[in-house]
Order: sequence, then C-alpha cells, then structure tokens
Amino acid sequence: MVIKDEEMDFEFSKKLEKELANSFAKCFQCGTCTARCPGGIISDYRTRKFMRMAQLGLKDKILSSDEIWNCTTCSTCKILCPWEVDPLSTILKLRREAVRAGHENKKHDPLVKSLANYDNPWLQPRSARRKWYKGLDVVDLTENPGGADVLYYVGCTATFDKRLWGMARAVIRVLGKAGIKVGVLGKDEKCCGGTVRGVGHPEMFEALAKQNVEDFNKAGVDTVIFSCPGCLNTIKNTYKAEQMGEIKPKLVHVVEFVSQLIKDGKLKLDKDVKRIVTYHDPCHLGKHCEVFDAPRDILKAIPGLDFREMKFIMKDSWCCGAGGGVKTAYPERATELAVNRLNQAEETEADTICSACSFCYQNLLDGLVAKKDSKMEMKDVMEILAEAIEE
Amino acid sequence: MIGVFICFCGQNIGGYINVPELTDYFNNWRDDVVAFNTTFLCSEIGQDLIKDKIEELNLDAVVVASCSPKHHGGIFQNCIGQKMNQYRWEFANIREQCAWVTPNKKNATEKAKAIIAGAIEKAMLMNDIGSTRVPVTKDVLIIGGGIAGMHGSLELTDKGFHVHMVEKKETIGGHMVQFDRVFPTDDCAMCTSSPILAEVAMDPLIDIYSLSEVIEVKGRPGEYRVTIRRNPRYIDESKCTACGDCTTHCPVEAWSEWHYGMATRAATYKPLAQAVPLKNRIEKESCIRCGTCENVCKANAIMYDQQPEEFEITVGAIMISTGYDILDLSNTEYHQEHPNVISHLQLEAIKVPSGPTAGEILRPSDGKMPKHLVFVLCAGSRDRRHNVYCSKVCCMYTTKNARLIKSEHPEMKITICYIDVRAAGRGYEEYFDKAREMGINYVRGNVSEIVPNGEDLILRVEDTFTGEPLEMEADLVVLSSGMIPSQGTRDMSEVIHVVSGADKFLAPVHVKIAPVDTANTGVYIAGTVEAPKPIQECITDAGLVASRISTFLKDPEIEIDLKTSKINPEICIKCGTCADNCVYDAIDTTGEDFKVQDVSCQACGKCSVVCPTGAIDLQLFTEDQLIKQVDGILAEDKDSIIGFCCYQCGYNAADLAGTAKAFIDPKIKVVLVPCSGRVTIQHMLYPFFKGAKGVFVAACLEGQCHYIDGNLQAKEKVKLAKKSLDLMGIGGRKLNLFNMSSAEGPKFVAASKRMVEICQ
Ligand SMILES: Cc1cc2nc3c(=O)[nH]c(=O)nc-3n(C[C@H](O)[C@H](O)[C@H](O)COP(=O)(O)OP(=O)(O)OC[C@H]3O[C@@H](n4cnc5c(N)ncnc54)[C@H](O)[C@@H]3O)c2cc1C
Ligand code: SF4
Ligand code: SF4
Ligand code: SF4
Ligand code: SF4
Repeated sequence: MVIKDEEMDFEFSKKLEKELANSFAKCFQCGTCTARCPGGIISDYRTRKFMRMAQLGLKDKILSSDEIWNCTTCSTCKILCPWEVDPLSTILKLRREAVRAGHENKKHDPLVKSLANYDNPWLQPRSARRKWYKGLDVVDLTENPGGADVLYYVGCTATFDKRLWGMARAVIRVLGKAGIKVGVLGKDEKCCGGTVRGVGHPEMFEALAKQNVEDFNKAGVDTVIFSCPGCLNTIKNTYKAEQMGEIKPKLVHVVEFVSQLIKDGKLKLDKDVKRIVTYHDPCHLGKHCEVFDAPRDILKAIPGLDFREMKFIMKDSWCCGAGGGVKTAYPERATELAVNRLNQAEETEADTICSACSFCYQNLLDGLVAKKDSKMEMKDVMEILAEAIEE
Repeated sequence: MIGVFICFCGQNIGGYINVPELTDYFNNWRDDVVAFNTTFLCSEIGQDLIKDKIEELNLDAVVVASCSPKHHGGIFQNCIGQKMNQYRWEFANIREQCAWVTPNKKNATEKAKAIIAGAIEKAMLMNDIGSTRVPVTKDVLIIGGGIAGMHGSLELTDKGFHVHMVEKKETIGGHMVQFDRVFPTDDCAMCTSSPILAEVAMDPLIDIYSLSEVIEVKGRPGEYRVTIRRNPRYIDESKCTACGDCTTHCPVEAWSEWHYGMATRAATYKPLAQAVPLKNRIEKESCIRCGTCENVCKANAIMYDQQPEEFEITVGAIMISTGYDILDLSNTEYHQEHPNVISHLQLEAIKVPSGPTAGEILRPSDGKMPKHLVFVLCAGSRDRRHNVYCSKVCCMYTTKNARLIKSEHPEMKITICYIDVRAAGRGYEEYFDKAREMGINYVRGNVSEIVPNGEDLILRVEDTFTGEPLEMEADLVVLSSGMIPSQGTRDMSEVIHVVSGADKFLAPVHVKIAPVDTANTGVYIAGTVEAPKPIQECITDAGLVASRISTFLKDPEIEIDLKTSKINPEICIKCGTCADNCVYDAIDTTGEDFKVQDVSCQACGKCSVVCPTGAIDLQLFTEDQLIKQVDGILAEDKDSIIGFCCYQCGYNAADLAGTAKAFIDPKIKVVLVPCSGRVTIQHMLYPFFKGAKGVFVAACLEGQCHYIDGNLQAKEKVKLAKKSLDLMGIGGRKLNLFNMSSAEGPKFVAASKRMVEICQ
C-alpha cells in the first residue's frame, strides 16, 4: 500500500512530541526495544513501528490499530533503548489519542463501565470489598481515622479474586505478628486508576486519583502499604501533585515494609519452610519502582527455604503478560506469556514460584492451569513468609 | 581624533539601520570624532577611504562599524596596519548583533548608536601593540608511537627536524601492528607497517624513549621544557641482543596484555618479532625473581634493580598521537566476561598469523571452530548509556574480518548485527557489497540481549526489515566495541592542558579549518587522539602536523604580537597569585621582577582578574577599555543589559543568532571579552552603578572553555557578585551566567529573552 502525502500529519506528530519529553522523535529505528517486547511475542505488535508511524504522523493508521493494545506496559523497551527514548510513554499517549478519537478497544468496555459505576474494574458491588478480611483484626479507617499504624491498600484484584485472599490475609497476619495494627478503607477503597490510564481514559483516571489522594490524607496514618505494584506505581509515579494534590503519607510496597521489619529484628521467623522457591519480578515493582532486593531479602531470611534465581531477573526479567489491559482484552495471550515465564521458572527446578503482585499472581496461576503438567505452586512472597511464623 | 567608518553592507545593514542618520549623528557627536559611510567598507574603495582618512586627518584610532569581526576582522587589521599600528582600531558589530536581530529600523538605529559609542570610548584608549621575536628550538617531541606518531616522525626527519619519540609501551607501533589485515585493501598490516617500524628504528634523527611517559611540560611555544620518565625494563637496553634465551628458560606463564589476554607469555618477553626497540623486557608483576634469566643471559643484560629515571629535553613543538582504546564491556549487558564473548581487538589478536592459534579462529572456551559467529556492531556506541558517538571504523573493520574469515571458511555462518552500515569512503561501499555477495548475513537491528547459555550464547535482535524479532544461537560473539580516548590521551590533556571535548578526545582549534592545531601554539594532534578514524586519516593528520610544525619552526625566531598580559613592576607586590592562576605557566617568577613570557601567554586575562593590586593587565582588552566601553554604551542607552561574551563561544553564538535573523531585544548590548575568565567582579557590578538594567556573561559550555577553566572561574565570580547585588538591594537575579557552545545561536536568543524577562 502506498502512503499518500495527506496521510502524513506532521502537526499531529509535532503535537505529540511536544507533550511527551524525550520520545519517538529521536528514535533511530534500531529495534532494540522490539526484539525483547513481550507484546511482540503474542501478536504482530512492533514497538519500533509505532515510533516510526508517530514520526511520520500516520495518525489514522495508528489510532485505528488493534496492535497497540498488546503492550503490557512492562517498561522493558524504556530500559533497553540505547538512545533513551521512552517508547512506553509514547504508546500510552497514542492509546489515549486513540480513545479520544473513538478507537478504544471494545474489549475494555466492561472494565471501563464497571469502573464508572462501581469504582472497580471487576463488576463487583462496593460492599463486597469487605469480604476478604472477615474475621481478621482490621480497623476501618473511614470510620475510625488514625485508628491504625498503617493503611493497607489492597487493590481491586486481591479484593475480588478469592484466589488472592490468602495473600491479603497473610499480610495482615505477618504485620500483626510484628505488632502492627493494620487499617483499611473498607467498602470505600477505590481503584487506583492505573488500568483506565493504561487503556486511554485520562478523565476517569484523574477523578479516581483525586478521590484516592483525599482518602489517603484523611486516613490519619503516615504510611500506606500496597500488595499490588501496579497500584503503587500508578499512585507513586503517575499522580501529579499539582493536578491531584499532594499525598501526605509515605507509599511503600509491603515487601519493602516487611523486609525492613526483619532487618530491624521486629519480626521473628521461627519455623522452617521446606520449599524450593524462585521469584518472579513484577514489572511494576521492579522495572517501574526499582524494588529488586526487598522480596529477595525476605525469601533469603526464611529458615529452611531454598531460594533459586531464574536466568532472567530484575531489569532483565520477562513480563508475566497481564499488564496494560492485555489480560482483559486478550486473556489467552496473557496466558501465553505466563506460560513462557513459568517455563523459565521450571528450569530452576523450584517447586514454588512466588511474586509480589496481585496481577502476576492471577496470571501466573492461570498459566499454571493452562500448562496442566506443572508441579509448581503459585504463592505470594507474603504467603510463604506467613508459613515461617508460629501462630 | 577618532574616525568612525560605517558600512551599508549593501542592504544588509542599510536595509535595517538608517546609516545616513547614524553618520550625521556621530559627525555632530563630539569634536574629536568624525564619521563616514560607504557601501562596502571591506571593498578596495572602502579600505582606501579608511587609509586616506587616517592620513588626511591624522587619526589616532579607527572604529569600523560593520559586520562581525569574525568575518573581516583580518582585512581591516591589515588595512589599518598599513597606515598605523594595526591594533589602533575597534569594531562595532552593527550587522549580526544589531541590524539582523532588530526588526524595527528606528530601534536598530538607536541600538547602533550605543554600540558605536561604546566602540569609540574603547578606541580612545587603544595603544600601539608591539611584537617581539623569540628564538625557537628545532627539536620536536612526538608523544605516542602508533601509526600516526611513526608517520609524523618520518615526515619531520625528512624535513630535517630532530624528533624525540616518547612511547608508553615496550615497543612502538600502536594498534595497527596488532592486526592481521587492514581495510580497505586487505593487505597484511605487518607487511605495511614493518618497513615503517624499521625506518623509524634506523633513522638517526629519531630518539625513541620506550616504556616512557611525559610527566611535565613547561616553557613556551618554540621552547618547551619536557620532563620524561623512563620506566625500568629490568633489562639493559644497550646489552640485550634480543636472543630470547631468557624467554625460553623463564618458568612463568602469564596472560599477555599485548594479545588482550588471548595468549600467554613468559615474564621476560618481547611482544612482537619486529618490536622497536628490539629488546626484551621483564614485566615486574609476573616475574618471580627466580634468577633463571640472569643465569642464562650471555649478554649479562638482566638488571632486576633498574630504577625509573627522569630527564628533561627541550623542544620547539609537540605532536600528541597517544591514540585510542576500546570500551571494556565486561559485567555489562554485553557479557564480555563470558569466555566466548570477545572484543574485536581480541579477535585481531587471535587472527594474526603469529598469534596463539596461528591465525585460526578458535573460540577461547574449548578451542573449537565456531559454527555461527555473530558480530555485534555499535557495542556501546550510539548509546547514551555508554558512548553517544559513532566510532566510525567499526562497520568497516567488522566487514573486513567477516570477509576474511568467510573466505577461509565458507561453511561458517557469519552474522553481523548493525543499526546502519557506515561505508562512506573511497571503495568502501564496494567493499561492503562484496561482503554481502560472499554470503555474510547482515541483520539490520541492534542486539537487545546476549544471554549466556552454557558455552554458547543466545542473542535477541529485531530484523527491522521484516519487523520480526530473531532469536539466534551463537558459539562465538565478537563485540565491535566503541572507541574511547586512551588513558594516555586523557593524561596528556592534563599534563599539557589541551582542551578535550565532551567525549574526552582532544579538540582541535577548529574542526574544519584547523583540524590538527590546538589552542596551545606549537602543540598539534594527529590520529585517533582526536577522534575515531581509520589508518588513512591518521596518516593524513600526521602529514599535516609535520607540515604545520615545519612552518611554525621554519625560522630561528618567531614573531609574536604582544596582545598578552603585562606586569607593571612598580605596583606588583610579587604575591604570585597571577602565576598560580595561569594554566599556561606564562608568568616567570624567578627573576628580579615578575614577568609575563609573551610566547606562552595565551591572552585569556585570567591573571588580571585575580591580581590584588591591578599590577597585571592585558594589553588589548584592558581593564579601562572594558569599563569605558560600558560607559559609552550606557551613556547612549542607560536601559541596556550588558552581555560580556567570550570570543570563542558566547560571541559566536550571538553572531549566529544574527545570521538566523532571530529577534533579540535591543536592550541587549554585547561586550566582547577574550574569555569569560577575564570578566572581573568589578565589570559585573559597574554597569548597574551606571544604570544598566542587567548584566550577563555568555561563556563556553562547562568543561569546554578554550582556556581550560575560565568559565568555571566566571561562575564563582558571578556567585559572589550576585551576593553583593543582593546586599546592595539591586538584586542578584539581574546578573547571570549562561553556558553555550559557539554553535548554539538559539541558546543566546533564549539567554537574552530570559534576561529581558528578569530585568523588566
Ligand atoms: C578492532 C579494530 C580493527 C581496526 N582495523 C582497521 C583497519 O583494518 N583499517 C583501518 O584503516 N583502521 C582500522 N582500525 C582503526 C586503527 O586502529 C586506527 O586508525 C589506528 O591504529 C590509530 O592509530 P594512532 O596512531 O592514532 O593510535 P594508536 O594505534 O592507539 O597508537 C597510540 C600509541 O600511543 C601510545 N601511548 C598512549 N598513551 C601514551 C602516553 N601517555 N605517552 C606515550 N605514549 C602513549 C600507545 O601505547 C600507542 O603506541 C581498527 C580499529 C579497531 C579497534
Ligand atoms: S512496555 Fe513492554 S510490552 Fe509495552 S512496548 Fe514496551 S516492551 Fe513492549
Ligand atoms: S530501542 Fe529506542 S531507538 Fe531503538 S527502535 Fe526502540 S525506541 Fe527506537
Ligand atoms: S627472573 Fe623473572 S623474568 Fe627472569 S626467568 Fe625468572 S621469572 Fe622469568
Ligand atoms: S593572560 Fe592568561 S595566559 Fe596570559 S599570563 Fe594571564 S592567565 Fe596566563
């Protein structure tokens, strides 16, 4: 097909580049990003080509593309690019432009509608947010501000997927053991907005963000802890203070918080855990928030545990495939990437693969189901840690 | 009487400035000023006008109001020099810095008045500037005996000069003698270079100091005093016959640095059969002092307790040719620590017929011939995390070795991953074409990942032409790693104070028209010390340096203009502050009175800025001239913002803003200084006392000052002056320093805009 002169909208290209610092305009088409892009494994999506199309201003071609929805927002491209171009930001920007132009990915519709109506992407009623912590000693900070030491922001995935309740409950148990009183936002917890941001709805994102900032500031605690790195990254790195307001409490992932407790001797690990464990770095915790050591420190501190690294770890780790709306739009593709990662895990001969992310948990679990023959078990770091603690 | 000559420059000035009004204005300005105008002042008619009026009116000095002095400064200096001292004139740049940046004709004319008034005031204080003759030494120092150094030395001895060659390693020859073949002719590197090595070795006019380094350079152009340290060889050079008996008997087996760890050697060795000087050397770190060599050496040459020695030589000029190194990519994403990931220099070390495998390509881990050999181009080049720049020769030498290996082993699969193939040069494209015809697989994509997989490697790369990611298995990976200035090159930039660029290669005065000259008179650069380049260009450089040096040293004496600093002994208290601040060691503090050595002084003016009594001052750009120039400008337009612009960068950037016809607020008035380091705190504060709205200094980028650290000194001064302005209630924010390169016109525009905003 011939690209006609009128298809090249350099104004579009100029406008985008102006809004994005350091992005596609400088790309010299080396392909470094693309060779290692998980989205490119499951589809015909090619990061580099979008950089080129953006340079040429091929507005219609880009905005009506199906391929762009295969990016898992893992950030590998950003880390690898030798010219320090930030392809991921470009892709996210193009997605927003696509939605604005009426080219949203229809498969994201239920998710977006659910968020508009229920503050969560899973079509669940608000009251169901309380179920996971039934019977645990947890303070609802919306009723009793300042009534706890920390606010635990569970995130929608762990709240509504029963398979993850074990993880969330383990967090409460571990913190309780260290004498820390945990608070939650109960039925008023809201989605962080990361998903709608990723799939191109900035207005919804902004509304959720403002609400969350307000809730955090009202909770009366000085630390908010997260299980889901997606939420943490969204809130910590993409909320803009001038736009959404300043967040007063400190924001940390639970593994950072707990590894510090262990270092300070505030958490005693008294039981052997007889497992061979390997750890999967969640993209949003590792590549985005640069937390690599904390989960490893925890695992290495557990008595009896045999910890083994995979070949691709930390900045080089492969994405599980769930992020960026891929799992919602193309669940079978997300599973394909999960299987790819699980195969790498199996090379270590571990009996357990663990991670520190609700989304990775879900997806790797689906991967295990799809693999059928795997003898590995999926766990969260906190679940394994809870096994090392006497009741 | 001062004569002002205003140029219409056709419409270039005449179209934007009312030249007749300007001429009238200055004719009625003051009794001691007369003004004239003409269409093209630089033409013969224009020059004759100037010369005639100088004679007719017995002018004391001239003001030329025309284009930037960077264009025709030389012409006017020459023209005026025919009638009186060639420095008795001052320019007023009313084209680039006024006409072209001020769209409104009335404003432009007003601004021109201020610029010219400043120039007149400065011209009133112009003195005759004399010249002097100093003797020169005909000896030349060449630092680094690679191909550039060797070629330069032979060219110079052909012209009758005596050359001292200092080489850090145990032999001269540099990288080229470590190669198998060389592109674009594929001739054997040693066959080409060994006659050169032999010629250098036998030339009676060349003294070679191997295992030596230059540790200090003092003196002045034409007479540099150089201290050389000769490191011990532990073998007496005068006795050793290079028979190799010691090597045969030495029990040590150590990695050979010369082969980049691809081969072993004894503790006593010569790196090369053709080494110059052809002498053995004991390498101290690996020697176990067993005494064997001492026993077997028939010449009695072993000297375990040899000490380093230092000695001084005097030379007239210096050529630096200390060459390059390559990036070490161990423990990076390139995994050079893996035995089967090697650098291209390591490949060359294997490939030479005299190498450890007699030229066979056998991989380090198991000595097997690889089935799939992958070359990684741009390893650490064009990469903001390593080298931003392109190393220029990697595409070609990689193609060279791929072709050579393919022709010997057609069955071997050879892949070259690349971003762009840069084959610009005579015969290069044809060379590349042939490689593809031979079946070498070029993949257009930068390698994303190299993953060790046992003894093999897995590489991921996108074939950007098909748009498909490839996963390749390789059993030998060769990194064509980016070139960097050698450690010796970086050391020399410290020892001799030669300016280097952001990439740390040494910088010529002008990349295009003075490519081998440095800002230090009498010091030249040749070869890869300046930038990555092929052998051919090293040879061209070296030939040019030889020519430049023979021009510089052609007479027994050289003439220099005394634009330099001068000390007034009456008020000099001999504190030595100026000497401490002078990076060129130009101030002689050994005699009765302290004295500036005119040949060494580069006229930057940093000394006069620090002198507590004002005893030392430049003879051009004097303290009073600058102050008077400011007075002149502010008397015409007290709302001005004064910009002290350094000659090398700030002033050039201002000119470029003009060439680009950008808008600059007419409040902005440029005052030229040789170096930002010449601007005193007094200069920064004084304009405010006279009503100026703001002051700024436009200097070179940090690390790129042509006088090493002038801009850093200016930075400190600006800080202090800002504090004073705060205390005085004027506001320190109205004084600023901007760094820009000579090519950054837009930065000058932005700086001016910023100043106008701040100084509303
Ligand atoms: C793998 C590879 C293959 C190449 N193949 C080719 C090719 O086929 N054809 C081609 O045209 N080009 C080729 N090149 C480029 C070529 O190597 C250079 O152009 C050339 O060798 C540079 O010569 P030089 O004299 O500038 O520097 P060098 O060869 O680096 O010589 C510098 C000399 O200075 C000495 N020295 C360093 N510091 C000091 C100090 N402080 N005091 C005293 N001495 C010092 C060094 O020991 C050395 O002897 C290749 C480059 C590489 C990396
Ligand atoms: S963020 Fe990950 S999935 Fe998205 S383009 Fe970059 S590498 Fe591909
Ligand atoms: S790695 Fe960077 S420069 Fe290379 S294609 Fe991707 S975005 Fe462009
Ligand atoms: S003394 Fe040193 S150089 Fe001589 S033979 Fe022994 S180890 Fe080798
Ligand atoms: S002007 Fe510069 S080079 Fe000359 S004596 Fe002063 S500080 Fe040294």
